[in-house]
Amino acid sequence: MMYKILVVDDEARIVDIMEKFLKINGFDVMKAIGGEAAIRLLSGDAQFDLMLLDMKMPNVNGIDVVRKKEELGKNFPVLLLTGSIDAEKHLDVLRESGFTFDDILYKPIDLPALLGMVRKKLNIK
Amino acid sequence: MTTPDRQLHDELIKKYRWAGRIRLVSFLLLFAFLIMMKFIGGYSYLNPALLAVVFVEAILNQPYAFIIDKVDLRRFQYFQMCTDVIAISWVLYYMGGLEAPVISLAYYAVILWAGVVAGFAAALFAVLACVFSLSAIVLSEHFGLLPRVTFTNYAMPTAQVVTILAGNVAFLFAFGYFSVRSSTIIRDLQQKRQEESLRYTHRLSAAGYLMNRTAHDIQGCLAGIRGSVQILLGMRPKSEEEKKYLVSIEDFEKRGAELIHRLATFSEKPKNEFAPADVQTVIEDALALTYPLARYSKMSIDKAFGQDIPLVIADRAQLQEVFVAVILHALDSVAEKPKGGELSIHTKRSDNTQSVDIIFSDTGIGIKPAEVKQVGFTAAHDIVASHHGTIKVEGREGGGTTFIITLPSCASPKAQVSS
Repeated sequence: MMYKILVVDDEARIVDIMEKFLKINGFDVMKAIGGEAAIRLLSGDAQFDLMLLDMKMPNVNGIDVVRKKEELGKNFPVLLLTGSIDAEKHLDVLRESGFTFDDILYKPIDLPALLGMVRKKLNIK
Repeated sequence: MTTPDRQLHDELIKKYRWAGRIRLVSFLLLFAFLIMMKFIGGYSYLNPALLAVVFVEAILNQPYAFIIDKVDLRRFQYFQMCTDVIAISWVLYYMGGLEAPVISLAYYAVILWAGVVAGFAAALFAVLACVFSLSAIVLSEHFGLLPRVTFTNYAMPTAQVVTILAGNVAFLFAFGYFSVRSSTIIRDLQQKRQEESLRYTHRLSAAGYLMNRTAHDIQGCLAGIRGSVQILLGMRPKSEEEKKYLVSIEDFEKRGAELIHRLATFSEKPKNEFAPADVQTVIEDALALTYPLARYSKMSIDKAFGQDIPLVIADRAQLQEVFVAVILHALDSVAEKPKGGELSIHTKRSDNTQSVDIIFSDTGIGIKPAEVKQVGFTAAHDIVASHHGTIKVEGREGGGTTFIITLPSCASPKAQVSS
């Protein structure tokens, strides 16, 4: 089975790099550049197994996307990508949504570590 | 005078002004009381000597600017205390000494004022002066050294006079202690607040120093990345895709280097290098420096730079610091509004080309008077002052803030002095 991952970041080239890396490792990837695009995709019919989500984005940020996802009743896991300082600021809000430290990846992201966490989330041995 | 001293001085003068107003009102009330007593009958206290004292205290003994500017505030306060005590004692005597106990309450006001504003020594002085005058008047009246002003024929036995006097004296001392004690508590609180803000300033300057030094190291790392990637690019990548990622590394590195360079420049110690500068580029630099914050905020920036803006004589780094402080305030202030807001920046020259106005106007939650005194703004104030300019803050609580910074242009004689 091929897992489908939604990658969200406002930086197009970062999204490209993650897409490339995940594809090499056998995942199907959908890209969303910015929060608005992510919400558009989430509102559509596409089904995802996991979302990689940047917290800090202009206009619609990561928290907005998480809220929208909950509103839409989409139930797949999310891995958050963030700078360490911002994560602390948003930790309380994130806890309310049921996130733990295990769901957060700090920038600059180490791709092998990212792969490990993706596999763990999707229960791939 | 340094800024904190200046602030303390200003605060003290403000207190004096208030005390002056209270003094005026209370003596006017006393005057009204004297007139009333005259007309409704009963005892009349209206006599020229008493009126003269009331006049001197209420009108002449005020903290007028021409006095305060010339004399030391501390000396002025002792002078005021002395005249107050003399005046109160005079009034007390004319109102019948121990038969008019209410008027001795005025002594307490003097002691409270001395303790709270000037501290222990002044309070002790005030208590001793009050005790001395009160005792002198009551005793000399009782023993016939002064003509007795009395409204009843009742003569108190000496023991009673002494007892009442002793009670009063004890109260005066107790009140002196109370006033000094309360002033120490107030002072401790103020000091703590000042220390906190000072500690924050130190931390900020330490952070600036660290940032400056660390930036240098980071630039070293980035140089390594740039060199390596440029070698790889020079070795002709095998595929277009390989080239794409190498170029991507180079671009990211350049962006990082640019940000670090800006931070490093900003955190450098001011060198006080004044030179002709274009205000617009300094604003653009400040905007670039705050871009990483502005980018993720809900604040839009609207720029309207006027035509033919003359150059100003400025230390660019310091001027940039002022603009950064103002932009950061706008960001914070707009962030408090759920729907975000706008910062509009515009520049214009004054009609005679003698000065340049730089106007930052945001639609945030506004500014509180206390905030204007905060670290960043005090620094901004000092910097603009050192440029012979002015900074005006128009805060509408809840309705945004406008900063109007006016700097003399190169054409202005003021600017020639600093160059």
